[in-house]
Amino acid sequence: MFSRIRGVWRALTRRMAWEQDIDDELRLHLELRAADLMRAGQSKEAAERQARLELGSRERFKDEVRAIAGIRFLDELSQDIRYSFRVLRQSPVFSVVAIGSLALGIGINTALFSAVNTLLLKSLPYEDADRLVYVTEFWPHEPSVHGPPSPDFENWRAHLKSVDGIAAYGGGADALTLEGMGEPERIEGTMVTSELLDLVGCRPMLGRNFAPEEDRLGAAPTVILGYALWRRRFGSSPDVIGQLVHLNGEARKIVGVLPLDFIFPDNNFHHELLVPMDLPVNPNWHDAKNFRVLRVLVRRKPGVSLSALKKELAGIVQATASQEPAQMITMRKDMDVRVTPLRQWLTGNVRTMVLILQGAVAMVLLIACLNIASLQVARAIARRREIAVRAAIGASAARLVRQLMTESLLLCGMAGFLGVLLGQMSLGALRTMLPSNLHLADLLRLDTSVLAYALAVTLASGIVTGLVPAFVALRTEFNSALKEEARSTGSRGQQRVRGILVIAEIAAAMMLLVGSSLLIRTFLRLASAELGFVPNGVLTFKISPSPRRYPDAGKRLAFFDRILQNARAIPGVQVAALGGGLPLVGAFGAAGVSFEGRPQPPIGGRPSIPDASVSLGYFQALQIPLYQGRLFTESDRSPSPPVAIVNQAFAQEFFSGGDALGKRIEVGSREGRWREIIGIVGNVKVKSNWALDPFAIYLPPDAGFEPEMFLILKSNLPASVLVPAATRVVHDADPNQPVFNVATMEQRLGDSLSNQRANMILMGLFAALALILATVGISGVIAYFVNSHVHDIAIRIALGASRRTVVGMVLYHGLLLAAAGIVAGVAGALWLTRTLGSILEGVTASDPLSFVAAVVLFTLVAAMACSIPALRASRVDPMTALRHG
Amino acid sequence: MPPSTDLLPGTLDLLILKAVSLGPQHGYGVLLRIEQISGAALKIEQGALYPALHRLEQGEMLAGEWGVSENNRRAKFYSLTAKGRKRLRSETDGWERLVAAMAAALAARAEET
Repeated sequence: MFSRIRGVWRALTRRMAWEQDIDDELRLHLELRAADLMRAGQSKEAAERQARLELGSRERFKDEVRAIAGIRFLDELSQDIRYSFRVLRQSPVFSVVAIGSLALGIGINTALFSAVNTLLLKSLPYEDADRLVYVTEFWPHEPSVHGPPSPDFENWRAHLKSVDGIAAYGGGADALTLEGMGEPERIEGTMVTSELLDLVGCRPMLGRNFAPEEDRLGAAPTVILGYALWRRRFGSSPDVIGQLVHLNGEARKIVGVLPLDFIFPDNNFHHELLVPMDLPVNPNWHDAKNFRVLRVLVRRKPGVSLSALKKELAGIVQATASQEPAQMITMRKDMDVRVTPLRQWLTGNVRTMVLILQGAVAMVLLIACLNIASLQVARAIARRREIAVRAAIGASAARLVRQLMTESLLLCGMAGFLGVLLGQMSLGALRTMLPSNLHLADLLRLDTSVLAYALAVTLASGIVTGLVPAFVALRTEFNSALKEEARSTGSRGQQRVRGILVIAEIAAAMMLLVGSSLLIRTFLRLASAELGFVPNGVLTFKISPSPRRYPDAGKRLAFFDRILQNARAIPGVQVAALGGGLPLVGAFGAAGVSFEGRPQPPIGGRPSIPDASVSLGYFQALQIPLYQGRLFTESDRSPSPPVAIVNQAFAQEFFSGGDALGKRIEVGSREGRWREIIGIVGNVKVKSNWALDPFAIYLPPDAGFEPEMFLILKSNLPASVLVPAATRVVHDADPNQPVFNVATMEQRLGDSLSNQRANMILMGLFAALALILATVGISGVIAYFVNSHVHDIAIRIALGASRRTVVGMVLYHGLLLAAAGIVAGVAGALWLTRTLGSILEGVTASDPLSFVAAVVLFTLVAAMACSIPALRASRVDPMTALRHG
Repeated sequence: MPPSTDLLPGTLDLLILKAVSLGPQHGYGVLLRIEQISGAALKIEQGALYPALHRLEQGEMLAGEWGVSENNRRAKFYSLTAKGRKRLRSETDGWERLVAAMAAALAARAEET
């Protein structure tokens, strides 16, 4: 075997020399033979001639020797390829359609696979990322808490044995105001423990990581700048290390700058800057001010299982429970420590969607392949004469199959090349389609594994599109093909093969169509879902007064009041208001609620209700309807009796019957500060899901506003005028106060549906592609049917069949195929759409309307696809057709 | 010229190996040698000779080496390899057994069967 390979290799590399050797060998033979013959008495010419005759054809001989040396295979291959090019050039329409549709299929598959690869397969851009585990706690009695409190983290950090490292970062955005450098700016940073950067293997580009003692309460304040901020506000100066920067009125020393490529793909992690955590020196459950809910990340030691890790974490919590105050023990009853591999934690929500889309594009490619296979079968039938001639002059069956496979692979190879280019181009679009909070989207690349995938897909397509026609061609009776006329119709078997291919195509397209109509319905349901407020002409942004300059509730209230008054004075502003929470954005708090006259439940047993403090005008600005009672007035400010407004859902749930008005509840505190319910307002949509969030309580600003408030301006002015005016109002009140999170409510509405819109657009796009491809497939088969039955049709027309009957006949044939495909598709869809369940909202996976819509649409399209060949059939001129048939 | 016989299939390789075993030869030399040792009784199809030589060379029974012929031309001389010698021995044994069996079969008389 080895010598054979070497022989082929030698022959290939020294092809010229090889030919020369053979020529030399043969020339010597001829000369010696001729010399012998001349010695026997022949003339020179006669001797040479006889020598040549005796040796036989030099070319045949060379060919045989080549076969022996293993070169013939390669010669034949290059012949096949040249021949295939000729065949493809001869039918340019077929080639362009085939290459185009396959390139589309391969392109979208490649692009989506790069998403699957990045999001689900490839490891995160950290060392040993597979060992990084995310730790959360679930408290069944306080389900709104997401994450371990800082004392648990401290205990783990001190006692955990099965990990190589543990770190934590702040559970929420840590917004800091950058001051003292011109325009004050709101910077979103993250509070981290000193180990975090080391844990994910990040080395600062300049300076150093935080030192271990720097994340302790009372340590000298430090900061690490993000690359973007360093560039934008510090002019990429390498001298920033050691400088002081004023954040929230506090001078912090810059110790490092993050590298450009540092990412931490969690939407709660902000890269603008990092500040160290301020953990107390000892785990302290009683110091409320420094009690934080954290996000905890550990790197487990090699070989430590998730369950073992979980057991150790829970065991440490158990062992240190004696430190906890009784109230905390009650709240944390039945607490569950949960461990999730980091990747799964970060991509959990898009995983399903990405897999569904990958399935969808695989189906589109399958349809494209079936289409080409079907066309190839038709061509194989049409080319029977050519194939039979080649067989007759000595091509073996294997050689013929190889020729057809070469053609398909060549076709797919070109399509694959174009497809990869297409995939590369569509990556940009895909990036914008993925949920924006998913920082992994930035990592989308066409890397070697994606290219390998594209190659595999291309080869698979080549085999699918080549094998079926090759099989059909092989079964052709060569002799009968030679005898038959060129118009031969192909056997029933071949027609059946094409029929099955088209039915499969239609079924696959049907499934995609049903899937996409389910997603369209979801989007429409969400988009038309009752909002409970009117978003038009409402501009909102956030203000967060620095706790240093506004340390108490009274100062904050005065600050907000001043802004509110100035905002109301902006010409063109109809209503200005402040709210601690906002529809679509949320930001509502969660407060335990007790009801006067009912038994007090234990701590942790009170219902937790979203609440927000709002200023006068809040309900008017958002046009949230008042159903009963009254809205807040100036006189509701303390020290008047405390009041509250609840929404309708709350009133119905907790005061069955609706006599909530005038009843008293306590919100948050347990000090007997009973609030009278003075009004009942409509429910609003707080999140992007289909269901209205059930409960809400609105409080007047009697206890001071929340530290962060939304300013809400209802106006007819365009945002371009309103935003600068509003910013000026805020800066008049405090020039160091940044304005951020600026958006109209209409923008927020659009954003809230962006995921569903992306799902719908992508799936719709793929379904449309599938529909077009399947249409091409069915119309091709029907056109072929008409062509091959021209004779019958002509006879029918000659015998008096009306044109309508002919059209009906062809349509019947086409719709029968379509119906078979649609039935198969519906059955498949019923089974497959269950996987869509988790991303559908407001519709079920077997939503009848979506199925009916898809069936109707497909039937119409199929009828249209068939009607062109049907009309052509009806225009058959019997005389011409019969004479030429 | 004595009457010549067409070769039985498969015997060409054996004859070539035998001819070459008597000393390295170029292609035409192999042809002459076979005619010579068979007393001109066996007729070799000249066109079949060279493919057979190349096949045997590919199979490492023969080793080809370029040299100079009697008429001062570049010529490829074939010689027997160890593998070729082994093959020649086993083929010769097989051939002799076959010939013996054939002779016995053809010499059989009616009453002995």
